[in-house]
Amino acid sequence: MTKKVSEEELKEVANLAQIKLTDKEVVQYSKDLGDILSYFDKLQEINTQDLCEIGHITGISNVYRKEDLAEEISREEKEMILSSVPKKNGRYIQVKNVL
Amino acid sequence: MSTIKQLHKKLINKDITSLELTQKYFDKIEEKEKDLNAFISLSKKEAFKQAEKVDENLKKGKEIDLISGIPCALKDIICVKGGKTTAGSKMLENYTASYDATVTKKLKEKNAVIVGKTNCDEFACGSSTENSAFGITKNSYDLTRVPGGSSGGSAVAVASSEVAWALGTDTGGSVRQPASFCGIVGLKPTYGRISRYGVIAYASSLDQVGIMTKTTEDAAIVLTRIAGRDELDATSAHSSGRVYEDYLTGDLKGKKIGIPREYISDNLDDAIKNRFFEAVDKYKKCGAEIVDISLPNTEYALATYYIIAPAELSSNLARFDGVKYGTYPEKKDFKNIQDFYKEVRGEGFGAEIKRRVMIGTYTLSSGYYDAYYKKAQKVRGLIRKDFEEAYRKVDYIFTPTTPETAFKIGAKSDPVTSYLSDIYTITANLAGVPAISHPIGTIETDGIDLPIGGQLFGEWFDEEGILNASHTFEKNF
Repeated sequence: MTKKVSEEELKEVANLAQIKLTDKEVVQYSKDLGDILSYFDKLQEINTQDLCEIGHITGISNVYRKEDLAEEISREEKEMILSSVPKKNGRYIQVKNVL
Repeated sequence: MSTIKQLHKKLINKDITSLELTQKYFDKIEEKEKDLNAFISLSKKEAFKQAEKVDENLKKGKEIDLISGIPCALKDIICVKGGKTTAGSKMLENYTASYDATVTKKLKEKNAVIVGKTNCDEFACGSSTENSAFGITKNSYDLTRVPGGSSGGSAVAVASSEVAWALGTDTGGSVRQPASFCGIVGLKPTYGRISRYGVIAYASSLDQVGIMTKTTEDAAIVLTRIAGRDELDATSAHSSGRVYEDYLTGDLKGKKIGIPREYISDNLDDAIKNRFFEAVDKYKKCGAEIVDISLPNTEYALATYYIIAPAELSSNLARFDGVKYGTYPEKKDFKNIQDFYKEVRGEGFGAEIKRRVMIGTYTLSSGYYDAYYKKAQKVRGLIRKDFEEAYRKVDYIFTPTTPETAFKIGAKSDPVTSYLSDIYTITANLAGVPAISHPIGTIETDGIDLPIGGQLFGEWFDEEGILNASHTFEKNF
């Protein structure tokens, strides 16, 4: 069955993904997503009702870390982290007000 | 063509210094880069500093490691402290890594000479290295063709001898597929064998660092030096303590190699089928017993992968919001912070990333989660079970690495067709098993001999097994 993703639906997905799209992209991606989701229908052929989901493939579970103080990062490392920040005010990261 | 061991010998015999060797490779890079574009950035100063250290050690008569003083490259998704790490994305063009990935740290401890960072599809999403914000990498066999991807830059750098070896990452075949297209060896170890700490995440349950080399022995040498448990990656597996190069006996007697019939369909190109069965015969001549097997759920692998990987990608990429890194948008008047995020992500992500993030967002959204993500995780269990059952009968599984040789730049424009490039490689990531691609010959296309690879799957954590099989093949043919 061919799945259709309407432009309205696509815009809602883009909104959830926090991505701004151009009108041209909306048209293109609603077609692409429809094609891709139709391809996923292949999995409907299999009955998976009694199967377990796989999260971690090699089966490692309960990995704990020692409760230790982490090594403090150096001033040089702090500077490096800040050097990648697009908008700063002194040593503060500046963001648009949230509320 | 120089292997790690040959270069090491030259260094310890004082035929060449590490500084001279490093200069030689940089000369090669200078000569070839305008055609190939395998690198995003070079780190000359750091490379020469490292080489100098190795030369000093040699002068003092100190023993050096096999990979010491030998030039290599890292895919630009692996962090090197103080250097740019872009993941092939405009979003990270100004990002400077403030720490070393665990693999980087291990390489530095062995005094490997890291000459630079290689091009890749944005956030490792792609099979052609065409989806990079820093230009397309060309296949060194034919400049009108892609090198494969996403670790295309690393593959080309090794194939064209710009470096002796390189690291890539493999989430659905991103090391093995370009290795096949570029005529080199590509190893994807078992999930968890190598730490992922400091490797920018694509799909966390599938990602694994991979090794790209000219020979299988080189891959074994590098694996020994970067494998092992890491406190900083909770999913990393126990350390095996193995010296993988010591397992290369060149003997395959008594070993059984399974050929899964699902991989040799009628649709498979005849030329590839011929090369593949020639390779099967060669394995027979090496003493292996060939067994017909079935991996019945193979046909569901691609859909499973393209649900799980984009879902994890959409979650991992949520952190790119333009606050801590990214390009600040020109537009100044934002209604609210969401408006700002959307602008940043709309500008910073390339087309394929937007597509995959939206697929992932869709399949994870409430109402669809059970039908897609949960369903795919269950099918993933069936695919793993296929492998468990196969390994009761055989030691290794052999398939073509790719259903095609390197394709033309721009040839695959619609997403579903381009996803089919991964059809033979993704099962290893879904099942978590180790896999290696090695060259099995060439196929003449438009008057040019293009390489093609064969792929061996091994049992979980049996890297030494597939390394030895691949090595034996290489030694005999």
